Amino acid sequence: MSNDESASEVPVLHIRCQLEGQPPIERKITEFPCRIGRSQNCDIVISDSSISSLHALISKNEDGDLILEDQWSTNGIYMHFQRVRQVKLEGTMHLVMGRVSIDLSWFPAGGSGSQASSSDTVGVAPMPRQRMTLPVDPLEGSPAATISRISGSGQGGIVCPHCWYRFDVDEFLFVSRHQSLLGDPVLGDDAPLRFLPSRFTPEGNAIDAAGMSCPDMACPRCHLRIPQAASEMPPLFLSIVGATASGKSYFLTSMTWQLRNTLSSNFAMSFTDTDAVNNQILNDFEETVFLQSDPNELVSLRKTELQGDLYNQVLLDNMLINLPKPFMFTVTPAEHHPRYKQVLESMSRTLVLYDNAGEHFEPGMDSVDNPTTQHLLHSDTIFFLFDPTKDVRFRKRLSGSDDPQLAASARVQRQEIILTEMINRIKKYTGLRSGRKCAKTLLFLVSKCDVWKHLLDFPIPEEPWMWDGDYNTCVLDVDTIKNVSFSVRYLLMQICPEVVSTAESFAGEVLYLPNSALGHSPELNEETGMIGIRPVDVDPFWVTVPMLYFFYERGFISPVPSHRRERHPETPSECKLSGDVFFIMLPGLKKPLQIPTSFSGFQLRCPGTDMWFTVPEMPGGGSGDA
Amino acid sequence: MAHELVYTSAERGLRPGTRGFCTVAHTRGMAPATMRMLESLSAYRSLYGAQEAASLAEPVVWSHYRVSLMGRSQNVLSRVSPTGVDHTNRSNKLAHHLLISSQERPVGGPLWLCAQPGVFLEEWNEEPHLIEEPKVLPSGDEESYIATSWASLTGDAGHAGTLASLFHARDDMIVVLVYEAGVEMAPLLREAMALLAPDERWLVTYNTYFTSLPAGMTCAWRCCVADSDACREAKRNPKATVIDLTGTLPEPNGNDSYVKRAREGGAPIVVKTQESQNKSKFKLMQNREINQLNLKPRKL
Repeated sequence: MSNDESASEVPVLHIRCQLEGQPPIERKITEFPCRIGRSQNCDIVISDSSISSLHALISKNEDGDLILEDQWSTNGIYMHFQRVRQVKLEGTMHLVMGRVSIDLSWFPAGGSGSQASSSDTVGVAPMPRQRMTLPVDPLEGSPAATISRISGSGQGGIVCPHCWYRFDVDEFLFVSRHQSLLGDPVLGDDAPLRFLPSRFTPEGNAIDAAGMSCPDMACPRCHLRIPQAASEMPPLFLSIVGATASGKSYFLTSMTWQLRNTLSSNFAMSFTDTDAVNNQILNDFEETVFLQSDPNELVSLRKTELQGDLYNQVLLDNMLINLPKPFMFTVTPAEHHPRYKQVLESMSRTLVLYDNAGEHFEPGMDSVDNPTTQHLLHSDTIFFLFDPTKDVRFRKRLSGSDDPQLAASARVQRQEIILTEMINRIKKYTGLRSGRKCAKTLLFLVSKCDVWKHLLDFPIPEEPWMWDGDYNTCVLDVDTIKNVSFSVRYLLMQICPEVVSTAESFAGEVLYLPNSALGHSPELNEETGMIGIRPVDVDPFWVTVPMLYFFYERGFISPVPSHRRERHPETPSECKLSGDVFFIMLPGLKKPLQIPTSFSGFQLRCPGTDMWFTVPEMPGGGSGDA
Repeated sequence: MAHELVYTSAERGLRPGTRGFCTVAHTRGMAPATMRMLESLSAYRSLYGAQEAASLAEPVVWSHYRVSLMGRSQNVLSRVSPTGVDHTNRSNKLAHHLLISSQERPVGGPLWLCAQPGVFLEEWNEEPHLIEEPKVLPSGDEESYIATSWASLTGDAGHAGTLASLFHARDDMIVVLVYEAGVEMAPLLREAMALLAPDERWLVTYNTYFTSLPAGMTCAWRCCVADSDACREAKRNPKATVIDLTGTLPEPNGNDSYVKRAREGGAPIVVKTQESQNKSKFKLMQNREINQLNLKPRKL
């Protein structure tokens, strides 16, 4: 075979990577699969903190097509402001990975580009392992940036769930077990000493100075214990944000309790405590709400504090720092998962959650010695809990309810301030420029829907999933979820539009979901003045759906297959795309519906009517698949 | 005089924009770092469920820690307790902290001071405000040294002397006192502390409802509720001596001078420590006010 002939059969991919403020780097790729990431082992190494170690993979499928696939990166891959998991490369395409802009041009075998020689690149001579350098840290020297800078400066594949420090496996410290080895410089006099081992048992446990076998490992920076399972499986960070008394603790409790059952019985996924010690507080919450011996007795969860059991105090750089205690869950496919062997490694993750006090999200509460909300920077997805009982305008629509949270004396609060503060913190520490959207998905959860659900004109099914006999597990009804989201968004736009615009100005994808952690209005204990709930009345609603969608985005849960998706007769519509919004005009409407591109490809119902329409796919394809 | 800080859950805090758990009052001029340190001592772990009837009997935390602030050794006395519901109808707590410099420590000791009326707040119903003047502390000393509370609980007042004598056993001695929920530990610690010389009383750090050690601090006398996680952790400390008040205590050493005094009363037993020896070289100047900012005495 001549070189020309062999060249014509080889697909040629031109890739151009550009980090803002840096000169672009261009390469021609002829060998596949091609790995893109921050790790030195990748074929294209991008040394930027917004890029995961292995961010994406370009491979050739059986049909000869090139497929670019997200490798469960933290900041994802975006096309037209919409996060994508898998994209078939066609012609010229523009993607965003973290802070890096990627232009791809693909000429399949026999195409015009295939005549180019393998050494020819556009404008730049080819170099092996071209590396893009980090920009100068704009926050250098700022005390408030110290923690995040340290957090990001570590290299390696392990991320500490306590302080988010990234390190290599050989940097692990071990926790001494002998009673005489007390007193740690970071954790205080009462804590066992942490050490870097030089001796090991045959089982691989470190041996401390007094000769005892030590299986427990700790972070080299904060010295807090990291369960072994958490070190073996990559973490998925999830932040829950909300104002004071918005119900974060109740939501977290109901969600984890329900997920234990829902995931295993419906989706062939195991959801278990990574470490019982770490999850003790959350387990106590679950017992309080769901496992009371007398279900008719009034119970309540205490107001989340800013100090104490939910935090670890450590001494770092001579500063006393409060780090939030993470709740950790191990997520793995169950053995009866239909693709168990194929997905065992990719689906095995450690889910890390935090229960912050609402005060932590107030403006002015973020400081270098109190980085309790810095998990926002590392979270793959953020759940923002919006409490309609605290919004004056919502309350007007709900007058007549006997829910004590809607009583005239109950307090109200502007919650978009919390949302704005959250956004500002993320932008400050990630260097995200104004006007640019964050790659994170924002799930906007409107809580306490048992009180306001009747305001929606779209019926919400109890369980938005169905059994798929071909797949042998349940599949997620993403169409219904998207319609519910659209309906909730429409309601919010009528009542508190500034909240919607704030959310959508920040995140590339925003999903609006209703939920009720308790499914029932609380009662006021006349003797103590404390609100509470009777376990017999607890009936959570849609508390698992946000997490199910989170797993769906990552490919752990499949959507309803195309041939089973329910299609409604459509009403003809006119559609225009402007930026990241579709303007869709339907008969009888005075003005067009403005629909974010995150809904593209889905059939939606126009609120207040029976008119169904499909939001067009984005130009270039690669929309959210369902 | 003492600087103070009050921390609770309120609709509006002292700092603009704060609400929920926040500082509602502090002495004017308190440094932000000092405020953060005091706020960090405001943690409270409830013993009972929020709606349980027994929650009305939650223990009160009385604590004493020694800190170094701006190069000066100071004593922090705190009272933290649950206090009904807040403006959101959820559980609330009240933390009141006093920051006392070494020159202002009453002779009676920290627990004597805590027991004086009007020193610590037990409830907060005020608007957030700055406290214009440092708190004037009462002066005085113990009047009785017979450990009646110990006698009532254990049958022998001499056990207070056992605790007091442990103070001199070693510098890093930790005493874990295990008690049943509902027992008031402050009077017991006070009676043991009264047996010590006045200079020594302010060297004893303690917590009447110990759940965890604040980072960077030491706590010599740790009162832990029986069967609690803190109790189990504290007992595992090899430096700890355990006094288990839930069971029968061993007979106190009748020849110990502290034990005798606890049973019979009498003059304080003075054992000069290094710190008390250093202190005795300096006497507070009469008729002068010490300017706390620059430490230079100036005439009134």
